[in-house]
Amino acid sequence: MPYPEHLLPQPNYRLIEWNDDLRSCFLLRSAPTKNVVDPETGKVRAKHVNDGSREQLKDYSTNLLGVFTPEDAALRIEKTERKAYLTGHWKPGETVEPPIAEDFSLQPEYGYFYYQIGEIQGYPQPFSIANLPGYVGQCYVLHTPTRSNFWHFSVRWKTQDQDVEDALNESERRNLLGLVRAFLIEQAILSLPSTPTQIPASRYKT
Amino acid sequence: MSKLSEKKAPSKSESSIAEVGLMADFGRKKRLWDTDSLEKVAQKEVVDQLVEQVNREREERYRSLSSTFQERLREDPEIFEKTESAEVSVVFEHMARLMLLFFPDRISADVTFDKSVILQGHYGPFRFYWETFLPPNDEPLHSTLNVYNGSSLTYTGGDRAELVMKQFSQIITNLFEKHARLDLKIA
Repeated sequence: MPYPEHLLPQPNYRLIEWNDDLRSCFLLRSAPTKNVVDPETGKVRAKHVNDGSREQLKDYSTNLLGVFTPEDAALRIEKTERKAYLTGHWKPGETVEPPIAEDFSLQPEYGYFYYQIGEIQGYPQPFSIANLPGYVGQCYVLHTPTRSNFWHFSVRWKTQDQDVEDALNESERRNLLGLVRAFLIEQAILSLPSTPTQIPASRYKT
Repeated sequence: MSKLSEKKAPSKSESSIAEVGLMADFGRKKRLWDTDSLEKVAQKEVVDQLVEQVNREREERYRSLSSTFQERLREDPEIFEKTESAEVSVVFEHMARLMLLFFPDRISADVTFDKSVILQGHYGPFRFYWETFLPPNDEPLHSTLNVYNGSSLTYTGGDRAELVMKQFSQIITNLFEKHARLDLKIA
């Protein structure tokens, strides 16, 4: 099976800059299992929200729903020599060598859940980190396309215009980690929105 | 003659009536005392049964929660491969038993790839996320607590595990008292 063309960045594509029209769009987060729901709470299981703290805080990987569909969540880039290249950041105008058969696989079992961009961008409006006055943090969403996935979006956290990984000590980082995990569980949407908004092609094609 | 001597002695009939009245009164009081005593005994038995029932149900919930938690621990044993399993269990037990004291509508326990134990408790519109990190060294345990009321984050904080435990107790006790009074509307 060839790698899906609709996932690849094209030379005439450009970065999707932030605009309020993104607020009605949804991000899809993939999970290694279809059993993502905690039957006790009815929410996403804490374990499936993220794979590790640094990833969670620095670059929570999601995909802009629309051209990217839930079925695309089954794709995984394999640990070959080309993995670093294929998962590396794509630069506008760059022509990509698409993944070949050995570079990717379709997972037999996978799951996913969603976030509405408008509900998480700028959340929680803003908050105080480590009880330090003026030490304010916010969630923000950023288009970070990779060479194998143009629709890759990152959910990040910043404080004082710095990414939190760089701004906080370990204790403060753990406090934020607890907040972020609870936040990601709270905000996760389990059912596919009936009519997910798609951004127009003019937002990403030159 | 003193005023006392001037006081007229009660007549026989008056005395009898008084005596009967006193007797009747004593009788009523005696019955009341018996009834009150019986009621007290009955109430104590009812209360004892209720307490026993509550404790039994709470213990059942704890066992169910513990069973699920152990299953989840076994899913990814590498998470705590450098931590004593007994320590993980003790942390879980302390957190779980305290949360269960306040009758959560829902409660769940999980482990994360950040080497933490996380408990979620839903109390009416309030949702508590209480997470304790277990680093694979001699560092003190660190916990975080986040509380949502509806869609709003109403509390976020983190500190040494024992301090966060106290913070949880304080917050949940205040909520419990406030909402129990409103809900019961005791006459």
